[in-house]
This record gives sequence, C-alpha cells and structure tokens, in this order.
Amino acid sequence: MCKKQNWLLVLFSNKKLFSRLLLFIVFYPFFGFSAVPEKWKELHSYKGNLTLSLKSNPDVYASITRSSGIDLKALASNSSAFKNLEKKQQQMLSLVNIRDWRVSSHQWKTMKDKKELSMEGSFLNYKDNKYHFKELHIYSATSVLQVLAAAPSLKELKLAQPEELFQKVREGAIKFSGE
Amino acid sequence: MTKGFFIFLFLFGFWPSPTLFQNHAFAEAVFDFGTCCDSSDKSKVLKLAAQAQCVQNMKKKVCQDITPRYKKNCAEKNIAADVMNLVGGCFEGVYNSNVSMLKFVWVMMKGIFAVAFFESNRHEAIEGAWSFIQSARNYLNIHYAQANGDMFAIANSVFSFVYNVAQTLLKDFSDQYQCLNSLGQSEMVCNLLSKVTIPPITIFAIMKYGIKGAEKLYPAIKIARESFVEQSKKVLSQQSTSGWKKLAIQSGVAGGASIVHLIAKGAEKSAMNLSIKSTEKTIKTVSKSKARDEVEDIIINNLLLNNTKNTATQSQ
Repeated sequence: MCKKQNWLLVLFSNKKLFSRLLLFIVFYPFFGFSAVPEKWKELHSYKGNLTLSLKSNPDVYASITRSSGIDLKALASNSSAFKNLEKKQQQMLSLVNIRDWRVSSHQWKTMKDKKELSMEGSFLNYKDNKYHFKELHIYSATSVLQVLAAAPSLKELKLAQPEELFQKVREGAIKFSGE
Repeated sequence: MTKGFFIFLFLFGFWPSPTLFQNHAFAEAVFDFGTCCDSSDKSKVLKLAAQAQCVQNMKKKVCQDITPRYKKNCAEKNIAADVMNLVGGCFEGVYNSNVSMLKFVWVMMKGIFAVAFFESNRHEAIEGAWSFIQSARNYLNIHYAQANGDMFAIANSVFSFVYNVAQTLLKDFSDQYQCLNSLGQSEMVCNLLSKVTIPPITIFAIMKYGIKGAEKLYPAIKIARESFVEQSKKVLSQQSTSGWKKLAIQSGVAGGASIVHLIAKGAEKSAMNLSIKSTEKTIKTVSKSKARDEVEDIIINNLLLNNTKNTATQSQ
C-alpha cells in the first residue's frame, strides 16, 4: 500500500512525466496507424480511397484503394492471363483519357493466404504528359488492397520511395476515411 | 424527269401513303434507287422531307401541350446542342460535390466496362479480371487530383457516352421528345439523368440488349432485384442504419426496379413516361444525398454479378 502511494506521489509530483503520460493516454488510439504517412500529404479521401501527393514534390502522386476480397483461385498468374488483364486495363483507362498504359515488368508472389502483384510501367495522362508508375496489389479473401505511385520521371519515382508506402499498406498501417 | 417527279411529290405531299411519307429512310432509298441526282439536290429533298415530318409530328396531341419555350420550330434550323456544356450542367446539379461526381464516374466506368469489354463467360475469369481492373480507380483518383477536380477534363468520354445513351433512350421512349427544340431536349435528358437516379441499371440494360431486346435481361434483373431487396432488408434491420440510408434503399428499390421492370417487360411508351414521373416523386427526397452513390454501387455490383451468373447458366 505504502509502495503504491509512493509511486503515485512520484507521478503527480513530476510534472514532465505526468504531462507525457497524459499525452500518451490521449493520443494512444492514433499510434501505429496514422491516416497519412509522414512523407505524404492527403489530397482527398472517401470510403476505401485515399489520394496523396509527396510533400517534397507535389508532382508525385499515390493512391490507395480497398475493395472486397476475392477467391484467390480466380487469379491466374500466367503470362497470357496477364496480357489479357493488361489489355482490359488499357480499355478501362481509355474511358478517362489515360492512354498508352504499359507494364514494363510485373511479378506475382504467392503467400499462404494472399497473393501479391507488383508492377512497373508508364502511361500518358489527359494532358499527354508521360508518367511512370509502380503498383502493388494485395489480394486476399477478406480484402483487395491496391496502391499506385506515379511520377513524371523514373528518378522522381525512385526518390519518392514508394516501397515504404507499400510496406505500410502491407502492415495495415493506413487508415481510410469513413471506416 | 425522275428527279422532278420526286421533288414534286415531296414538295406537295402528293404521296400515296402518309406512313411512307413520314419515313425519312424511304426518301433516301428512293434517291439511291434513282441515282439521278447530285448530292445538293438530294440533301434539299431530304431536308424538305424532314421538315414535312416535323410538321406532321408537331400536329400530334402530345406536342400540343408543350411550353412554347421548349417547342420545336420546324422552319428553323435545329441547332445542335453543345453536349459537353449540357452534360456539365446536368451532372453538376445532380452531383453537388466533386467526390460524389468522382464516385459517379467510377460507377459509370464499371458499367461501361462491364457491358462493352467483357467477353468471357467464365465466372472465375471475370472475378479475377474484375479485381485487377478495380485498380483503375487509383488512376482516376490521381487524374482527378492532377486536373484540380475538373471532372469534365478527364471524364468527358464517360459523360458524353451516358448523355448519348440517355438521349437514345428518350428518343425511343418519349413521344414528347420529338416535339422539343434543343433546349427542351437537353432539359429532358438532364431530367432523366437527374431524377431517375439509377442510371447505371437502366442505361446499361438498354446498352447491353437494346430497347427491344431488354426483356432478355429480365431474369437477371429479377435476381438482382430480389438479392438487392434481401440485402436492403438486412441493412434496414441493422440498428445503425440511419434514416437517409433507409430512405435511399427503399427509393432505390422502388424506383430502379419499377423502371427496369417496365423496360424488361416491353411496356407501353406511356407507361414508361408514367414510371419516370412516379420515380421522380419517389426519388426526389434523396436526389442529392450521399446515399445515392452507395445505392448505385450496390445495384451495379448486383447487376454485374447476376449478369455473370446468368451468362454462365445459359452457357452450360
């Protein structure tokens, strides 16, 4: 009893320690899953969608979407299936004036309960400006997470280190609005 | 001699059958057959035929009640409306925030894609491809940020597509459409797009099967409707469901299903007009709410899923 009283006394008498403890308690729910990673600035967000731009270079963009899960058997990872997906995506993107969407390299990774697809390539935006991109798709039975990072040059894309963002998404550290 | 004879017939309406007289295509066929006239003569005659058809149409009872401001003047040249301006006006009024416009474009993209680009009947292939293609939403989000929220700069093809389909829908279903000038026609199209708040389900039904073949979609719509009603019941039973969501779902089911039901069953033109009117009433309360995006999304997903199931069953 006496020991407990001493502990409380120390806590309340030390203003610095007390204020730090109070801050920790107040902000505890936000630790570990900040809405926006530090290097990035939120541009807009709505249910299951988050669009960001790099603080140091606003021409570098990233977007993350989350949709419902998929039966992993439905995902064929052979090259002819991928060619077909690439064609479909080109058609889809042409509806919003994105042209010449090309994948220069892609890789499938199969894990126990999920599949990951990483891609690199380029496209022309509605103003005919060329953009380079990196994408990560994480497919699982519970959700599909898709991340896109795009920059006007390969150098800018590399500097943005999209892998850091991809890792945060893998860890589930990104909080979406409306959820 | 042949040329003079046909011009005479068109000018003075001395034609054996009024039905044939009204048929623009018939005039074209006659001149192809004749191969007598140069292009300027042909266009003069076609213009006169169109004008005569317009005068005939305007005499119909359905055209009599139209406000003079929107009434077509057959003597005047029909000025083609600036589609993009009109579409801008229509959608800005309906989707009052940029984010809901973004969601709307996404729903339309999904719908257009589903009816125009999918060829496979295999459910797995569709599910896999569909999941992959969802990443297009990331591109749309970035695109939207780059264009500073100017949806028309990036999605004009989507908007004009929707607008044109809505126009076709009205031309075929509404008797009044032909009596309207370009202002009246554009307002009517906007009205359809804004008041019938379930455009994907109606527009895509027409797009996929055509108006006459829309009944082919009926089984899929029926399943979609049933599962949607089931889903709605579940949502409604949840305590957390807020008032607007309940209202939106109820209205969505009532409005969307009744229109598609009428289209699918090959209803009378007047019934279609009536259904638009009654849907206007039903939907009005939620026309600008956030709920519509959710309702549209649920419906289009149901439609896609059940279309797939339906195709798969047919192919077995």
